[in-house]
Amino acid sequence: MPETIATYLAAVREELSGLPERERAEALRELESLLRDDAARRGEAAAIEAVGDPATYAASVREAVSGPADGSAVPQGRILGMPYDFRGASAERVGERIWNPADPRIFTPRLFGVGWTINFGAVAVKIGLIRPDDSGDEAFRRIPPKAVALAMAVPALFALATVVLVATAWTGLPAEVPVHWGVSGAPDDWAPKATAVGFLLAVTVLPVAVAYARVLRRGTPARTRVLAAAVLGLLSSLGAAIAAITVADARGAGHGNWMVLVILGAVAVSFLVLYLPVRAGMRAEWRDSLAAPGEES
Amino acid sequence: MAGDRDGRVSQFRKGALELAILALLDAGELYGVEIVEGLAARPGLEASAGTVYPLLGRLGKSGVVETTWRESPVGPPRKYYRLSRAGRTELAEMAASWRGLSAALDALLEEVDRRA
Repeated sequence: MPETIATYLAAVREELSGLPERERAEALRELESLLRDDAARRGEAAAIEAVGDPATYAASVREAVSGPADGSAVPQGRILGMPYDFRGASAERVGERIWNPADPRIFTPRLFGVGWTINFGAVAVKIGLIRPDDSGDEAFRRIPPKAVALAMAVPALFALATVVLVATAWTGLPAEVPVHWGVSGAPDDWAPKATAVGFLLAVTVLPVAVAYARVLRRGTPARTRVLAAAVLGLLSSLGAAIAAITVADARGAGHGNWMVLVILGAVAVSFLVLYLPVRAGMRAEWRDSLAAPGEES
Repeated sequence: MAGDRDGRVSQFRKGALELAILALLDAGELYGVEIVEGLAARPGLEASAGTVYPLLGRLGKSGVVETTWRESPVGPPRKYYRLSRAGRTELAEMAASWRGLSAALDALLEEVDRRA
């Protein structure tokens, strides 16, 4: 417990880091006047004692300012900007966003339209595959290792396919290749092929390689691995499809309205990479629980 | 629900809902839909599935409720919730503090009414 009002305020200030500066300053001003008032009456030590632990005090200030620190409702925008970043705690947050069956919202309102905020858990509930409380942490823990490995093979295969495709087609590609397609499916923007292919590999293959180097480390939970596979499944299948369209285009194939189909397909790949392992985990959970009724908790 | 438009009232309701769920489970184990329906049958306590399921998840994580899977006559097995030992204690404590709070607030609000 800090001994003086100054050190107590410093401790609370520290605990309140991350709060908007104006609110933090106001909360501290309020606390200081309260403490000084009380200290004048019955001494500094008693006044500090009465307010309690700085961390607890800071937590109640946070709660008063922004509601309780309750997982799913808190937007994690910065992480969603880099969906292939699976370091440390961010997997937990990505998980809350892309697999949260208890939350009926398919898109979280704040980030509507941004690719990674589809709540696949809500989708699975909506199409009747699961109930909102079917796939808790236990289901994720029970995902069979084989299912985890299969899920992780999907993005790796798409990434590999992308590399193989551009490598074999490289010499046949014209100097300028399409990099953007209009609503009709006809290309409306071109770039030098080295730039286009380099960019494609950088946004699809590189994230897969980087994320797998991290996720494959010993002790990474199945949940993190499957979530990584789902997010990367979207990226890599999209990349492979764009590579295929680019190559087909260079060979003079007709333009169709591929993009909508490609995006829907990539979302479906991502969904399956997440749903099927979770389903396997649920089945494992049922098997054990139904065999030994009442034992599960 | 008028309360849900206001963040503070909604927080207040969430605490009350938690107690309501524990009280429902006191009579025996229930699965998710039964809990939602049980609340809906009591005017004033209705809550959407989107409110109830995350709460159930939280109650499970904090060890207040335990879950069991049981075969369902329709569809896949259902997850049933029941009070744990800690849940019974929690229910008794929450009920006591609710009654204390409610009695004190009632008395205070009666004073307001008398002045009106």
